[in-house]
Amino acid sequence: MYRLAQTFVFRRNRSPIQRLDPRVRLLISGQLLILVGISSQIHEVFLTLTGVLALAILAKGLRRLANPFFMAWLIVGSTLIFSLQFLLNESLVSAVILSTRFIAILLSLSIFYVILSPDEVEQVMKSARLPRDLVFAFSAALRFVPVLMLDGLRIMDAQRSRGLELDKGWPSTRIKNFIPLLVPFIVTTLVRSSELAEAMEARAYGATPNRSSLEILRLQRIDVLALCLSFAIFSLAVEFFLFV
Amino acid sequence: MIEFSDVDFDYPQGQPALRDINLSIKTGELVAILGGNGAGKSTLVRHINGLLKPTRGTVTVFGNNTRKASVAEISRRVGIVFQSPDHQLFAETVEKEIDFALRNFGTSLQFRHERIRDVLDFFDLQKYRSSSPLKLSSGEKKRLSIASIMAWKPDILILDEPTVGQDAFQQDKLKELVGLWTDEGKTVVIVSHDLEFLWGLVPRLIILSDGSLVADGKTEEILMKEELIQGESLHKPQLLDLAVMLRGTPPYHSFQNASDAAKWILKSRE
Amino acid sequence: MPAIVFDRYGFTYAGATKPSLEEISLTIEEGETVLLAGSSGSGKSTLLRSLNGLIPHMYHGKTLGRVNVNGFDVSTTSPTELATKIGFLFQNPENQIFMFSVRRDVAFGPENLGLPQEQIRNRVEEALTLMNITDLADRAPHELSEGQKQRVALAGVLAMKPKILVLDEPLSLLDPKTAVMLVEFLTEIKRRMPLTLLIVEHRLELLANLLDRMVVLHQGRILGDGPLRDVIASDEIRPAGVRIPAIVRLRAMLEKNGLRFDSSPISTGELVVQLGDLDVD
Repeated sequence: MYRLAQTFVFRRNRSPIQRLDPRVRLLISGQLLILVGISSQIHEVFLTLTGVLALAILAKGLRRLANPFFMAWLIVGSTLIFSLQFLLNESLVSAVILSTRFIAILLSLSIFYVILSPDEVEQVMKSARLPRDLVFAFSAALRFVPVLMLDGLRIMDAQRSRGLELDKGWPSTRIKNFIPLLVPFIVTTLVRSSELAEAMEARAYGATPNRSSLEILRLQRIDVLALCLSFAIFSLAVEFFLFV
Repeated sequence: MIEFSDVDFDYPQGQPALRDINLSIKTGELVAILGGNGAGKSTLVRHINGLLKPTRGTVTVFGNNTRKASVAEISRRVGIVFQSPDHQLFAETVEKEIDFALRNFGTSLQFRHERIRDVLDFFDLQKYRSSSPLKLSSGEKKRLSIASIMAWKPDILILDEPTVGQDAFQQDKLKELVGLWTDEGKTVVIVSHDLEFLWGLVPRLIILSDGSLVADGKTEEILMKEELIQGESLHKPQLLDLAVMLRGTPPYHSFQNASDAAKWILKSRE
Repeated sequence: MPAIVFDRYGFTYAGATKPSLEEISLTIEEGETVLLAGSSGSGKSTLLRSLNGLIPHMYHGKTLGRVNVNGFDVSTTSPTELATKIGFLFQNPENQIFMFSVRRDVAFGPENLGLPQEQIRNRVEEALTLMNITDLADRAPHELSEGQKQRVALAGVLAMKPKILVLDEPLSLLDPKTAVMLVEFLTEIKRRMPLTLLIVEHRLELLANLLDRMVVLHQGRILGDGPLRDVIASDEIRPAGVRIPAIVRLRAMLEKNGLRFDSSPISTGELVVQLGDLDVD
């Protein structure tokens, strides 16, 4: 549980990638995802996988991807796909292609998470002119995920200290065992959200429909450069994958 | 009997939380654990009933290694009252809230009835017996959470920041509870910042800093260590401060309460 | 103009049988520092909510009398407008930090007001500097200690440039070290700008030098109101369950035994000085 709570905690790091406009970063990782989708030959798959890993290294996020939880999923999933494919098709090559693609897809999806911090996601949403309340609800939800998980841990500690044994008894009693966890969790979450609402009100949330912003996203020269470069590589790769 | 020997504890993501803790608390003792936010107090306390197991070293409670017993088994003798009552209150009625642990521990029906009545009386909660715990005021919730732990008469009672949000009457009640436990030869551990509350009540202090034990000894002696208490920004309790101002540095039996001080001042003026 | 005026104010929550506040008349002048004391259920939170407009705009019920903040009638002023006049530091700082970076969180209020970017930036810098947390500007909330979180929350409130600041049990979650630091910060802020402070707190030993006045609430009514040292020493406030510092209790015992004091000491130093003066007589 504690480990899980930690995975939802975003760590900011200062890498060359993090200095780019978040929208550009989003586009780059989106391009990679498309490439993974359209790669079908073994060398194509490995090429895109290299691209994904290169981006992770540039974002100094490799260690974060090497999270034991994530790795376990990756290994189990790819082995499963590999062996299934091998058994069904009896083709080593297609088994390798399919399992590598699986790895590449998972990696490129999680790269979103490595290179974009939640508040940058919020900025991107804002610049896409999504409704203010929706954007705020989204970012507040992300902000409070680790906090709520810690609440969950504390509740579990408190009830176990009162003799609650979660893994004891018949399935029916086990479900009943979750009530002492669920009720305090709902109550603390409600208390939190009402305190949150009061605090928002006290800082003039909704005072004017024209909410302004401290940071307004503007493309810099380096962003444009990165954008051009990534599009060049992307179109080259698409041509290579699909038509050569 | 609580015994920590060479205990280290690291959280799964690697940050160290306890370092080289050696500590022994005898049956019947009353001690307080102090330390800044994040010094490791709650981590230490969670080792006593086995919620956390040491990364290195051993914790034994009444001779049993906490690694070899379940939290439920140890909790039968170790009751922890956590800081926030909201993290534990869940039952439909106040009575059932108290009964929760009593049932979990499989105590007899007669014992359950008796204890529910006793703790409700003690904390003046009898009138809420059949109401929902969630409808109580924050002070009453806190009292109920304490009542639900003292109900099963644990041999070791641990109170985590018990004075937060409690008025003077409730703080007196807390002192009465502590007296009740120690009179029966049971152990009480209080985690608190509140030296004014602890003064005259708790004879032994343990101070944690950054996961290490930096002081352990008699309350008065520890609070006279200027360097230590300045490092922790602890304020001397008013009465100790007064004793030092009027009588100089101990050793002597300093003022444990206001009437001690009044007697001494009046006598010195005769 | 007084900062806060309660005029025969009363409030009963919708659905409640008993009023939470009754016959509250209280005037707090600009620049005063007032301690509000009382046990849980005394009506403290209701009184605070009546100041920032959460009552009657968010919590409904029956209101009697009126409340004015900076000359504005709370019942006809929206909570968002009141937010620029009266700042609130709530008890749990965790629940008042909404953003992922300290800088952006401090900007939250000014952004809501729709201020131009340049002004927001200035206000953020100012508040960060005032709270001495410029080095934390790029941190995320979970990278902050309890005391730091509170300073961030306070910076977010100060960025709204309120004239009145309300602090709800600011010391209760802090260890002694950070508690002392907060009190020093408040003293410093008071020195720099003419803030009116209303503080709810149980541990008043630490605050004694900051406070001018003490108001005690009990069962929805005002039980005591006056200079801190007089109120804390008076017998009338005993039913409220306010924790009386040891020195104040000691003085009461000494007076019973015939010693006379000119004023009511609250700290050890004050008592010792007065005992010394008594010697001369």
